[in-house]
Amino acid sequence: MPSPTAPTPVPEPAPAAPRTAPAVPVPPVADAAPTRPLTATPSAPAASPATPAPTARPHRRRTVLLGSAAIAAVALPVTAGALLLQRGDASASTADGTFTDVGADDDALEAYRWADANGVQPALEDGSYAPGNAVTRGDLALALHRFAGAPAVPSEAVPAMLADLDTVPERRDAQLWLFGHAALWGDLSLCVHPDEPASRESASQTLTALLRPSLSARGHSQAVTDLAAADADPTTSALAWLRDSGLLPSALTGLKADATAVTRGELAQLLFRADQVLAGAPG
Amino acid sequence: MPAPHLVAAPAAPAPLPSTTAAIGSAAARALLTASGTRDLALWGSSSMSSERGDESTPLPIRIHEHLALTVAPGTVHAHGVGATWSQHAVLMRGLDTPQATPQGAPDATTGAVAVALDPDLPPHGRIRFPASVGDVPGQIDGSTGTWIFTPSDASATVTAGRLVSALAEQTAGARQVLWMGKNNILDTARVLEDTQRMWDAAPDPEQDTLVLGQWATEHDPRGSTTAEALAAVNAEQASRYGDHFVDVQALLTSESGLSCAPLAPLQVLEQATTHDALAQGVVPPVLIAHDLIHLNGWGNLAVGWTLIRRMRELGWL
Repeated sequence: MPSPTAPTPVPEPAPAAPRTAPAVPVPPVADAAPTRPLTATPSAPAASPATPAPTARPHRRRTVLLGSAAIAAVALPVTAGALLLQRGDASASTADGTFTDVGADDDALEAYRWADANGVQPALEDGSYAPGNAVTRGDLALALHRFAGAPAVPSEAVPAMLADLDTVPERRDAQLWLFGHAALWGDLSLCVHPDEPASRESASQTLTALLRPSLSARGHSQAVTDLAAADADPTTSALAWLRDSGLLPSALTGLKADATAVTRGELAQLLFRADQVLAGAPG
Repeated sequence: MPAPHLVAAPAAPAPLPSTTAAIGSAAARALLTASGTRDLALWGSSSMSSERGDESTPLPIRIHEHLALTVAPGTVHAHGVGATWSQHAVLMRGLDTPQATPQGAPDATTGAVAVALDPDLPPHGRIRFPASVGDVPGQIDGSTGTWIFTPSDASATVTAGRLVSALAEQTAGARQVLWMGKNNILDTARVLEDTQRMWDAAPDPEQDTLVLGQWATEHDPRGSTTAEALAAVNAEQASRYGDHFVDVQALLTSESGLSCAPLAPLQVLEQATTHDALAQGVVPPVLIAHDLIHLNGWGNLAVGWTLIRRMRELGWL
């Protein structure tokens, strides 16, 4: 394991001038096509349509769980590659990168544009960004899942391990993906309360739980071999780690990890900052 | 997650779907999603099979099911079998290939025949797996207490030959998690040797294996022979495997471990039975199934969560 080092601080850019050019296109993710034959059990159900996605990429079956355990392997269609979403007719206010409720001189405008253009947290249908609106826990999960490219989740291949998953497939998959990456966990009832506001406390814990282990693997964060000790005070350690890792934008460094609801604006700035830090970190 | 404190804000206009382009951050995709699709094989006994994971939690929590969400699009090959010894894992992995000799006449309908193994290894638990005896493929089943080999082709003639597990081919190229040897823990040398053989059989031994340590039940109190044996095995494996060893005993008996995020709602340390257990050096009852020897759903949740984080820290995901 490489010696843990603090990530190289990434300076924040000066507030951007209002854009008139279209948003910078994001390169498409390479299709994660299978390189080996598909497996299917004799009892595999007939193909059913996958979560609708306007893509020509073929759906494929995959058995995700095999073996001596008393679990029936279920072959399911799994979309290959990253989730693609398609915008309907764009409103004029979003097509040029502006929002009806965000001033051209707003310091966070670039973050909102980034979040909208990359589908992490799109603008609203009426052309506003609503940066002051509270984010629900389900919204947070969705944004984080999209931030990671919305990787496919075998949501129907395993029994439910959370009691109140969202019924909307995309939101359900986001919650399951975070659970599968040890970044989301339930309460005593195994509930994650997706419709409740996401507090700054829970958001900092979730973001830290998502990023810290992977950054540790790349030698950019303190290796957590003593997982339990690092989590002894989750609130303090999570926010402190975000701050020390340069993942908190300067506008948010005064935040406290408390019960205050995270806003859309804060989440956009946080993930925009995270993108800058991750992009600047050596692989 | 902790219970929320606030009432939800009034609904806002629905968000607009994004443009037709790959979604998210390229940097985040590179960091958080696996570039390959390597499978994960799980080997061991009842803890690895999450045998009592349906107890105590509102929903069953089984480690291999949790990992299926983690490893996707890779496949989890769950080969933990309750009551088995470390030698059974080695047999299932295809590293041991004993001579199998038919005993008596085969079943007229299925072709199934009892076989004796040399070297002998008595079957334990509900062990069964695809295998071949000589050139004849089929399934070996020890769940009745006798090894029974059933050829895939009922008309095939089974003669004496090497028993070779088909699971080796099935899991070729997979990373692996080993949680084996608790049922023969007093034979510490054997447990260490078998685990090392499994480690060495991985495609990249130094990178492809995680070894989970053993944990103490109330039958293994501090000072008992089993407690000393599992402590010895844990210590040696921690030394050998470093970051590829997960100290489950420490996770489930330390104050910091018992305060980990998924266990926080349980308030384990607030319970009187916890401190009695910790004084004995055993895992607290709140994490133990009613049979007193297996983890319940909460215990599995803690182990699974810890395992996933370690896998991520090792760059497996």
